[in-house]
Amino acid sequence: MTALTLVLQEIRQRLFSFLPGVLAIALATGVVTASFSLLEAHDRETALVLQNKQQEVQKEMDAMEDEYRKITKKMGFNILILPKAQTLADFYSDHQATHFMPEESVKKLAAATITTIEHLLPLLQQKITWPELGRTVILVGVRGEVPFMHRGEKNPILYPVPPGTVVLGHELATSRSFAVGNEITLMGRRFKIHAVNPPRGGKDDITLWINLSEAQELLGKPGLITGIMALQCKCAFADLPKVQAEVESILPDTQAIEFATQAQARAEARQQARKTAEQVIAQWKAGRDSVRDQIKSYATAWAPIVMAGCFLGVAAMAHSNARERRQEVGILSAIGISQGNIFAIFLLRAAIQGLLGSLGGFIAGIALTSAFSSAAVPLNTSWMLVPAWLAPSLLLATPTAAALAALVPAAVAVQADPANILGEE
Amino acid sequence: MIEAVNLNMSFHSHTGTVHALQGVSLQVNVGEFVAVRGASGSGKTTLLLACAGLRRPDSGHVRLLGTDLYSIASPARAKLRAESVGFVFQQFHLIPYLSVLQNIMAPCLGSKIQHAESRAKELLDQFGLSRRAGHYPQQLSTGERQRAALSRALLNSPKILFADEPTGNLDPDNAALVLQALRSFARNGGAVLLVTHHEDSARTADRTITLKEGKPA
Repeated sequence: MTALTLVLQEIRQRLFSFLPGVLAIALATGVVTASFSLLEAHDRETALVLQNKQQEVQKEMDAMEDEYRKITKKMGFNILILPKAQTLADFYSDHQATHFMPEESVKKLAAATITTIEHLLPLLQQKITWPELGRTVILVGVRGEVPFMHRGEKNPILYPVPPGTVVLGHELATSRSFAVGNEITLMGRRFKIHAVNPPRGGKDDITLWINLSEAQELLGKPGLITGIMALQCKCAFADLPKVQAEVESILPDTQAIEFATQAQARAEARQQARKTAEQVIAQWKAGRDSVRDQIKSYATAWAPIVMAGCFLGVAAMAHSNARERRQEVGILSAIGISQGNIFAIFLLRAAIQGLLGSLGGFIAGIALTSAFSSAAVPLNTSWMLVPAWLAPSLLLATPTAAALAALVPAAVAVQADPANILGEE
Repeated sequence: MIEAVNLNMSFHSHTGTVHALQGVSLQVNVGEFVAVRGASGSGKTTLLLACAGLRRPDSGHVRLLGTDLYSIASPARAKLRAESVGFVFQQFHLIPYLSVLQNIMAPCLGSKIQHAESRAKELLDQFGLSRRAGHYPQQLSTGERQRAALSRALLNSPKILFADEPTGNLDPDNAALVLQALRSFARNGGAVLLVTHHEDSARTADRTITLKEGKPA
């Protein structure tokens, strides 16, 4: 005959007064387990969906990257070589250069064994007032492509404008109803319209292209150019600084800048698309975090209340049990069971209540998580959502808490006078 | 074995003070069966509880097996009871959720009893309860319950038996059986203090002390 046998027999006898205590503890344990495992399930689901979303974005970005690579391979970048002293702010704001470089520079570059540039086009560009029409235009003098000396003959990317002719931007032509073959007067000199460019949606639409020598004469800049266009550079966007460094090493008094190209625009669009996608993901993640915070705050607020309520419930039930067992306490005391041993019998009962409750609550908490978490957390893996430390903690803390709840009722019970109890009918 | 000297005990209630024991002295020696008789409220149960170490008198001394009962701590008194004393009550006071065998073995919770299970079975056999070992108290007749209670009291081979109206709820046959057991216990070197208001039961004892209003009559 052991104390455990006695306790187990008593539990069997008074199962219906024992079970509510187990259920109360199971409720408290279940709330705690479910709180932790729901949070973990939420985190795992977030991580999984986030990973999928990031993979989708990466896939799209990779596809765009590939497209971008193909585009840049075909198109190349456009580089404009300007005098080093040229302020880019002025150049960008006024569409004209304030500094000049010798036309001979282009020959020096053409003579160099530079491999990343396909075509060299010297130009003289100024923003002028077209005196005959009284409007601001951009005058560009071009001489056609300068061939690289160490390379074979190639088809020129841009043909030179023949002397005495002009190529007009689309806006200039349409606003004045100029057509190919018409003659115009520019700064007192007559030019035949050689071509009208299609609309390009920029400064090109108000630009006149004439022969470089004629432009140098008209602008009073003999032997000078404002820059060299290096077209269809064979380089990836990321290698641009290398090309710039190579050009600037050959022409130290110059600077190389990259024109806004379609490829660059696409690259920027791609960057923007990534940024937008990342923002969408970040917003989604913020939403998930907010839900997580809500779950956490509910758990933080309710779990202690439920636990305290259950603790009080167990204490009340222990008190009721102790009252019910007054006579038993008297008998045990009379046959020589010490108060300490009787006290231990009450606490052992409460601890068993706590142990069963915590086991039941733990299983219920996991089942609850399975029911409420998404398909991202399969049922058979729900138990893995519970932090490793939680189960042993609950199995240790809950019986201890239940025993603590029974402490006062047990103490009161064993303090009762057995003589009085045995005298009761 | 039992020596009570000049025991006094009073209870206070809203109706006034009740003097349960007034200068009662008692001695029960080895092999002696002593009955305490008296009407209800005469103080006989109070005397038994005081002698058993379950109720401290207001004054006086109780020596049990040479130990001054109320000069030692409660756990030591419990140990003394567990090792040397047996109780039989009118209400049997069996634990309802333990089987007969488990009830008989209940004193094992208080002290280590050598060969408790074989001793318990021996007692079951002795008191004709062998076939009732697995039954619960509520499944027994009153006679069987008292025999089970008596078996429990004898499990630890006590030196002293305290019996409080053990035949009060029994038919004559079972009452005789219980009294015979008490007598036999005393003959075998034990000491029995029986509290009863039945003259027939008291007659079985070696000696009878009569109490009236807490005093020896």
